[in-house]
Amino acid sequence: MSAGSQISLRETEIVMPRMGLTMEEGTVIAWLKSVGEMVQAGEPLVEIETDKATVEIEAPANGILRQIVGQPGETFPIGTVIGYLTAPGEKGVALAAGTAAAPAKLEKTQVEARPTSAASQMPATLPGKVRASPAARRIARQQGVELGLVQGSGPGGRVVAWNVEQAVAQMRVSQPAGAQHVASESATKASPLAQRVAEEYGVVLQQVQGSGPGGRITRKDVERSISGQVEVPAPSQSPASLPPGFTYEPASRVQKRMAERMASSFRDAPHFYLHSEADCRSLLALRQALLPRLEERYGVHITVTDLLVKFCALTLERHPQVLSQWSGDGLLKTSEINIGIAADTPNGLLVPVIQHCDRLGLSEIARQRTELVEKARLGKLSLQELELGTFTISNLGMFKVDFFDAILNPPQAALLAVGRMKERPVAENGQLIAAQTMTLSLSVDHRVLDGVSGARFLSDLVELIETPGLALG
Amino acid sequence: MSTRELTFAQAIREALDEEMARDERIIVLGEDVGAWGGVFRTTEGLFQKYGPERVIDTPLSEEGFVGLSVGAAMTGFHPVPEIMFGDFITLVMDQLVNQAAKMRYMTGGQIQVPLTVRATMGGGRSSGAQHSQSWHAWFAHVPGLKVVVPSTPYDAKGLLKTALREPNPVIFFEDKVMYAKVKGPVPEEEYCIPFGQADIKRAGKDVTLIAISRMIHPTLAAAEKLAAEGIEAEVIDPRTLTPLDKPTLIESVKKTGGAVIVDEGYQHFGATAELAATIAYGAFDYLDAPVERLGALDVPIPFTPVLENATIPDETKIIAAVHRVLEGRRSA
Repeated sequence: MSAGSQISLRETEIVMPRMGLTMEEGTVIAWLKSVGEMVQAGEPLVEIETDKATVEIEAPANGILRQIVGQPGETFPIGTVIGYLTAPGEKGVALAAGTAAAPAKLEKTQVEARPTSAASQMPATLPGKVRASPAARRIARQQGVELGLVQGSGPGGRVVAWNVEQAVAQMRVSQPAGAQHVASESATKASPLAQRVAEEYGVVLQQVQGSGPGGRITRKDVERSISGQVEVPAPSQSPASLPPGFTYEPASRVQKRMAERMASSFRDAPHFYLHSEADCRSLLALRQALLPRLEERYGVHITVTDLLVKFCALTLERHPQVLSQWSGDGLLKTSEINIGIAADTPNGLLVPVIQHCDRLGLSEIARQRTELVEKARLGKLSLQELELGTFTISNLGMFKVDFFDAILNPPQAALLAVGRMKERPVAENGQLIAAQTMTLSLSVDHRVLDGVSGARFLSDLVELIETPGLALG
Repeated sequence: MSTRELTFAQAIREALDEEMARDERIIVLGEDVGAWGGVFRTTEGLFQKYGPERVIDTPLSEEGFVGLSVGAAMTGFHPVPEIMFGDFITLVMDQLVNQAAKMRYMTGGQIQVPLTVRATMGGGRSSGAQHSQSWHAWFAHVPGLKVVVPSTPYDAKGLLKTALREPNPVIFFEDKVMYAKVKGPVPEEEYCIPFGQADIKRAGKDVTLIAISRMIHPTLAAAEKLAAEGIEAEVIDPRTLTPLDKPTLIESVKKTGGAVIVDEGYQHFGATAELAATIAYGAFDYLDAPVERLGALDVPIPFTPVLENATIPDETKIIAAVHRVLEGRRSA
């Protein structure tokens, strides 16, 4: 530890937290306490803006807010110290802004902790989820054995203490004397949840400082350690000289994120688009009939978007391949029907997600949609409400946009772009009549779906819009 | 120190006799405890020795004689009411739970309730669904009551003598199958066994077996058979549920890495659950397998012996549970 060496033992660092899998940095929006003020663990302490939401961060411990390092408006990589709490009576600290929480030590010792030659001789199981008894875990921690490399002989392949002892014995045999791996001095205790998170992220528990009872490592400790290991990207800079007549404005987190994601989506996902015009007379009649009744019964105001969410969910149920995502050299498949709705907010484009739409009735979809869009406008969405989407609907029907193609919302493989609904000439039985229609454009990732698969999905969806009674099965 | 062999019932009788001779506040009361000496012979000769004022035959009314006992305890006696069939302790829940257990607390210690309720437990005698149950866990759930569950004549005598010197209410459970069938060494010299001290009935290193009351016996038999397979089981008798000797249980499991808990009470929400939780908390980082619990199946105890035996843990079930705990944990 370099700059952090002045920190007394009872000092608690407030670090830029990682609040989602994709989060890399965050911006301090406001401190909710001032320096010298007493805070309780769990009390809202600082407001952080990520690329997806503004979130209130709770104080990690009781104490006094001793120092604010990260000033409002400043952006920091996750894991960076943005402030300090001290227990009453402790001395404050002086630290330069943006000091990362001791990453160097973590990396170095992590390498040392892994057994080298023995690893290749031990039968490997899939990394990630290792089933092991608490006793096996304790011994593995004490001996510095990677549990993922130990073959379990317990029920269902559970790694038991004896297996770890055998692995240790094997290591001793295979390593020359004197080069034996040195286990950490004290046994590392960790909660099962912390162990699981550590395994998922490949964190070596011996390197994590426990804050639980008796020094037990909790999930928070592991997450803090994950934050500390992330590389620090170079800060973004404004152009040195501006063209005449231009001013420069740094992008907000949401704008920056949109730029990055859309660029990578358009670059990496081979898009194609399928177009259709749907007759909306039945859909509108249905909405007219339901609107006052559902309003009276459930207090919700259903919109065309809500009906589209329901219809998409029903169609996705029949075409689950549309939910798949391209990943590396294969497909991530799912049956989770979580539909995101592109929403315009003062901070930019956000896509709140309604989860498990296939299990929700129309009124519940309307209720959740209303709540999520409102939260999005206020910047109060939680990260959970922004992640996990498997399909997106983008509706620009309220503008004079007849028709548009949208860029896919990565990593999803399909997106429905909805243009405005208006009276258009429709040929019916040889007669030209005026009818309300809407235009639909399905964006598709050709790595995941071919033209026919996309066409089948869109055909079924249009059929449902034109004959909503099909929803009854 | 000279030692004889006594039956479980004889050990109980001897503890009552010795303490009644020592302390004239002790009175015994219940159904047929007097002139006839008790249906299980645990009060034999006491009526003749101490007279009808201290050994009282009561009508068939648990509510009556236990309520009377609580009042007598509050006014200076140490009554020992006997619930002949522990099943009917249901009739005196209010007297025990709301009155006896609370008086000391609610009067700021001004009133003590030195009361030792003796009750039977256990099936295995084809006594039917209303005469075979084991309700000790209920009382272990109530603050203010001490719960004793001895398994040997030695423990029964030493613990009962302690109960009879306690200033607080004690529920003393005796497994009726053991009265005549279980014999064991009991020294002639006087001794008491303090509450809250578990007893390691057999030392071992491979797995911890914790058994309550009579279940100690099939558990020890199972341990003997397991030894022939090379499995060294440690067998622990908690002896009192309240207070509970947690350190002994936890230390044993820290050593062995696995536990099987055996009880004749119902498994569902039973004493085994509390003991398993104690171990899971105290020996968390040492467990190598889930804690196994064996209790009575969650059905009324059947009358027919074949079905009755199937509902109660036995040697075979205990051995199977040990094998589950040890599965994959040793080199074959």
